[in-house]
Amino acid sequence: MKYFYSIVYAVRCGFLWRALLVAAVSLTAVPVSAQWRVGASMGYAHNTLSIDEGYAYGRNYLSHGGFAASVPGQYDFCDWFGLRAELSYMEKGYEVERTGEYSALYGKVSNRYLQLPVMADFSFGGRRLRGFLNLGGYVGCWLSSNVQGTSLRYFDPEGLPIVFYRDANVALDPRRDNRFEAGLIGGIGLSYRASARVVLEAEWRIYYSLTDMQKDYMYFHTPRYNTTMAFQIGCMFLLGSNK
Amino acid sequence: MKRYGLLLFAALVAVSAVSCRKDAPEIPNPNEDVMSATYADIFKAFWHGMNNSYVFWDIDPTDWDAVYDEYLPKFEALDTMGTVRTGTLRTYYSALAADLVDHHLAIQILNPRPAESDDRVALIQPGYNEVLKRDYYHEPVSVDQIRSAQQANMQAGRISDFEECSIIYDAGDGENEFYASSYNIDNGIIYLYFTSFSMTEIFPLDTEGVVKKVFANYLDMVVSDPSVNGVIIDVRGNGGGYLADMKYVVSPLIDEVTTIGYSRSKNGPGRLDYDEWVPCVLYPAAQHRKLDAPIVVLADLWSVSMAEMTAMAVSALPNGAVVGERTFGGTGPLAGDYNLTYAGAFDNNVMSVYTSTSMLKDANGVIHEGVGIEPDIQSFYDVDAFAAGVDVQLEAAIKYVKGEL
Repeated sequence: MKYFYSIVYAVRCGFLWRALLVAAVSLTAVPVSAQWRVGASMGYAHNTLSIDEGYAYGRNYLSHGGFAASVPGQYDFCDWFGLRAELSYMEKGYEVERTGEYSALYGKVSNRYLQLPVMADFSFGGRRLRGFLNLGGYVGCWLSSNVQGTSLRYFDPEGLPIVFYRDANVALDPRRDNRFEAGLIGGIGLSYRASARVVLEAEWRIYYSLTDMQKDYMYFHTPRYNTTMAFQIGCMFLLGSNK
Repeated sequence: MKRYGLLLFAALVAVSAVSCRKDAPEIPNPNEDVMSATYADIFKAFWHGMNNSYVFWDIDPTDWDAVYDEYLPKFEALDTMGTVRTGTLRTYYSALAADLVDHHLAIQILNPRPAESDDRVALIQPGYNEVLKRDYYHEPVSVDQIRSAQQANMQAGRISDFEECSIIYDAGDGENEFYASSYNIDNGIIYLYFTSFSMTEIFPLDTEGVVKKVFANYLDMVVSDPSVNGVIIDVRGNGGGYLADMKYVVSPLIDEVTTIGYSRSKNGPGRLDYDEWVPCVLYPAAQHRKLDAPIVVLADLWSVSMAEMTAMAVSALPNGAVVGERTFGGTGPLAGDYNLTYAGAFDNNVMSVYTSTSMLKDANGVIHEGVGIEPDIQSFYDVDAFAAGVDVQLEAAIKYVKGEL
């Protein structure tokens, strides 16, 4: 409990990093009933772009779905607490729609990320069926981008700009695009111990980015952030001596 | 107890970190009126309008942030003065916009407190100012000069199948003059001249068919004349106009869908928020004929916008070439609708900013904005030769078609 008060005090004083350090030290004091587990999971990622449309009232940003897969590894300190790290691939997309007379213009953007989430895993429940809560953070790298949709096309014989359908990978602009992403993760799920060494998991997780997708390259820059909800199912294999 | 402590800790970290996202800045709509018409507020409205709506930031050398830092204090200083000369405003805006590459750009700024007998509006045209400094600068070729050279060539027996028109029309924006001519010169070179790409608005008004006759003559010669040795499309002094008019000029010369360039539009408020490049294609006209003979665009310093796009289109053809002078450099299309891409021209109660809606590059990927199109065969305007009835640039184009250059 003394660790908890230290952490609260550190956070209150604004010393976030000190709080993290204190938390890390406190973990070393947890009685060890250690066990490794590794596995794989995949699922669906539903991303929402947080951006202020400003005066572009007829341009709306909508959520967009994508694929997610990860290779998790977890170290259980005790039956209710472990640390989990993953290498994960995630598509974080969004859609842009125009309203009214411009509704033929739209875009579906799919941005691909490679991420490294690190989470504290709290679990509770029975021996076979357990609930769990993951809390932590992640860093990621924006790998590539694909756009499907329509754009303006000039020189239509009737004179008006018309739409042109495109489906193409889009080069990231190093002057504009911030390939680095980091943020928070929270997730809840259920695990089912199917056998002595196999645990099946289903988890709903939210990735809350704290880094702007664009660099701060201009005055009055409008930031944009990803918020991704992911539903993944996976399988973990318990390693070492079986408890 | 430890378990709850850790949970609480994680929750605290999460809550404190969630507030780490930056707030979006307040971005004014450039088409909304500026309520407080101080010099500083007008400058800020202009600066923001350009910051979010200008389409050439990708290639523009101007440090727009530095402009804000340097000029905002200057305009704030003007607010402490009683009256301000419109010339002072013109000097400031000309300097801060001097290197903006958009050669369509025309800025009109209202002077809220002009000196007595002073103009109320300062007009700034950075592209025009750049063109004035070119070493081959000259006044635009006049219709009279074109016609005098035509007369001389007719008298010399070089011209046949001649059609011309000269009209004054009003399509709702006041009276405009339009002249066009088409003919066959030197037994097989089809020639077309017109002062602007205004056919889209003129043809519905052309009840007597005098303008249509000129273009029908051009089309008939292109499609039917068995002895075509080449085509010359003369866009000297042509300030541009409707994109759709390409179908009367270049579309009769192709027999398949042809990519003539690529356009790119803004898709967000950031200076570098762009859609991908989209091919601009031309479709063959209903009546068309693919020619193997040379097709030439005769262009000059005053060939702007659609005139330059025509040069780009013809250059994309395997037998196409540009003869004349480096063109004006205003190649970006104007859609005439700000809300189409939330970019391009804008205006409000204190300013009007005429600027391109999209970027354009040619079929080879070259962006000519602010520079102009370099001719394949250079030939300069010669006012003295015109006075003698000789059109030196046209003769250069004819020589090129004949393979003499």
